[in-house]
This record gives sequence, structure tokens and C-alpha cells, in this order.
Amino acid sequence: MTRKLSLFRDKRAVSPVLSSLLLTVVAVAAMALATTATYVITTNMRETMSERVIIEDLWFNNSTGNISVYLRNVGKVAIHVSGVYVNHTSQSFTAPFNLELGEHKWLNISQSWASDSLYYVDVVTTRGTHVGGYFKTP
Amino acid sequence: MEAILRRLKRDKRGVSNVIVVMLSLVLITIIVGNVVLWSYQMNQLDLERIQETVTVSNVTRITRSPWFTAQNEYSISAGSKLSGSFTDTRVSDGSYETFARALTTSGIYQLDMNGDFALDLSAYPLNSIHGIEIYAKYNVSDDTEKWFLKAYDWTASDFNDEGFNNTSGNQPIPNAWSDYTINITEDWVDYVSSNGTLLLELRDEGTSANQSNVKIDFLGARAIIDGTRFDLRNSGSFTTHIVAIWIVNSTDHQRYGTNLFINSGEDATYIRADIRLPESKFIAKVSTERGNISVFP
Repeated sequence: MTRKLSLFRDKRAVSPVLSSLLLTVVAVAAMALATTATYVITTNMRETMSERVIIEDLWFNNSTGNISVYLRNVGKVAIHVSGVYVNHTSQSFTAPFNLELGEHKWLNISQSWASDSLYYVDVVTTRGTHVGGYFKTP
Repeated sequence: MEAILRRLKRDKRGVSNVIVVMLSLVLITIIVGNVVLWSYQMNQLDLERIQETVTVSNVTRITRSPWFTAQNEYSISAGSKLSGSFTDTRVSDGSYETFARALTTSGIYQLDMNGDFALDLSAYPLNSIHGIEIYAKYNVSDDTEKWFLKAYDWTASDFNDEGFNNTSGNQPIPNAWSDYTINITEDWVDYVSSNGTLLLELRDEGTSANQSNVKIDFLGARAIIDGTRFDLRNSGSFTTHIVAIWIVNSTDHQRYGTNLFINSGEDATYIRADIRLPESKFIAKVSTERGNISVFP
């Protein structure tokens, strides 16, 4: 009991202990911040690297007069289509168009087309992945 | 040496710098390691995709499923088994099962036997079947009476031949192989149970007083369909997973989901009873899980 009281009365070496504690807290906080920043930065990079999408079919639909593209997500992240270009001109489509992992569906482009012509169709995702090519109309 | 260690213990300058550099190195290593790992994974995915080679060698319309043959030994209501086994009746190859007609109380010799046949409803769903075809190849020494095929009507709980294209029986040629074919195109659903079981009965007319033996080389049933057969080949070095088939013509682009695996270097025949090929010119495409597409023709 007497020893405990003496510990409370003795104020020597308190500042070094406090400074060490503070330094530890600051170091841990800095590392946590750095780790979080790293995670955020690399997640974006990883998602961009893991994005894969294919065009399974492209249909110059006679009945609707529009162009329908069947897309399938074959990558490892969900995909959000941000733009569709026909002959390098932006076109309107059924937005929002999202594809989860392994998901597949039609993307309808509101664009009329002429018979026996060549069109360059380009689908762009929000992360910047392009998928497309030249397609000849019937 | 001792002097150096003593000096190092006393001199604390630069320790924080060393710690900061080491922590930073750990962080950089983690980042670089992760990036390299992801890059490796996606490169592997792309490499596998490049090396995957699936070809569609043929696409044809089919109107019949393969034969579905006896699952168990035949049940005999009248007569007896002499030799062979039900497995001899699965293929028309010259090996046969022999039955003897038995004398009944009315003084006539008779054979009445039946067996169960299972249609593969997973490959040929009931809604894609248009009828049932039954075929028997048999040989009898006595031609004084006709032979009849019947099927078990699960609704009426009895063997009958309603809806058969031929109910007048088959007249055999003595000591020669006779072919007896029946088509059921009306009310065929009554003859197929919910799990695809079809019970078939082969019996004589029941009028002959002559003893004779009956050899059965083949007895089977198959579904009448309007489907499509795809001949595929995986010439790549990886097992491929076909996830979709497309049938494209000028008026329609139809996608059919599939779940077919083909080992490396193997051929596969894929039959779909629910895919009806268009009359007009068409192209067929198969799409793999890795994202490759093969087109026919």
C-alpha cells in the first residue's frame, strides 16, 4: 500500500513515457493513413486491370431500326457502360447499363443504320475499357 | 568490435530515419507485390483465352433422339425366358434374347412380356417432344399370328395402343428378322410418366396352337423431336466451358444458355431438343466462359 502511494507521488520520468506513447500513437495513425491511401489507390488500379467485356452479338435490328449489342462481362469486376460510339460519334443508349460478374444482356443503341454499310461500334466503360469493332449491316 | 557496439548503443541519431525508410519500404513492397500479382492473374486469364480454340464443325437438324433401351430384365406375364439377357436387346447387333411361348389353359401358346424404358427428360424435356417412336427387331419360327406392341397408359393404368399409327399388329416372316416400328404422335404424353419412364409390351395375337420361340435382337423407344445437333471440337490445351449458343438469321438473333464442358483435344456432340433451326440461311455461334466465340459455317 505504501509502495503504491510512493509511485503516485514520484513524478520522475513521466515526460519520456508520455512522449513515447504519443510518438507510438502518431506512428500508428500515420501507418493507418498510408495503408488506407494505398488500398484506395490500388483498388482503382486493380479494378481497371481486371475489367474484361466482350461483344457476343451485334444485331442491326430491322424491326426496330436500331442497333442492339449483346455484352457479357467476362472480367472480375462489375462493369458500368459510360458511352457508346457509332462511327466515333456518341450515341444515346439504354442507360444506366451495368453488368455484374458473368452477367450478359442486350444494350440498345438508338441509332438508325443503312443497308450494306460498315459501322464502327465502340462501347466504353467508366474505367476506360473499350470494346468494339467494325460491323457490316445486312 | 566491443567499442563499435558501445558507440552504436550510445549514438541514437538517425534511428527514426531508418525506421521511416523501412516502413516505407514495406508499404512499397506490398503495393508492388499486389500490382504484380493482379497483373499476373489477368495475364494468365488473357493467355488462357488466347490459347482456347473451340470450333463448330457441324450444325444439323435432328428429328429423333437416340434410342432408349430396356433398363431391367423383362417381366413375363405369359411364356418364359430361354437364353440371353435384356442387355442383348439394347443394340441391333445379332446378339439376342430368346423367349418361349407357353401353353395356356385354352390350349394356345402365348408370349406376353414387358420392360421399362427411361426417356432422358433432362436432355429431351417433355415440352420439346412431339411423339414417341418404338422399334422392335424380332424373329419367330411361326407366322400363323401377328405380333403387337403396346405401351402402358399411365392415365388409364393399363397397356393399350390408342394414338398409335398402327394398331393392326405386325405379320412376321418365319425364321427371319422382322422390323416392327410404331409411331405415337397423339396422346403420347399418357404413355410417359413424370420421370420419363415408358413401359412397353410385346405380345402375340394369342390364337396359335403351335409352340415357337421368339428371338429379340432390339427393342427400344426414342423421342420424336425437332431439335439441333452441334458437333464441337476443343483443339486447345485447356478444358473449355461453353456457356451460350447463338442461332442468327436475318430476322432473329436467339441466344440459348448452355453448360457444356469439353476436355482438351476432345470432340463433343451436343443435342438440344429445344433449338429449332430456321428454314432460311443462318449462322450458329458458340460462346465460351473465357470470352471466345466460334462461328459456323
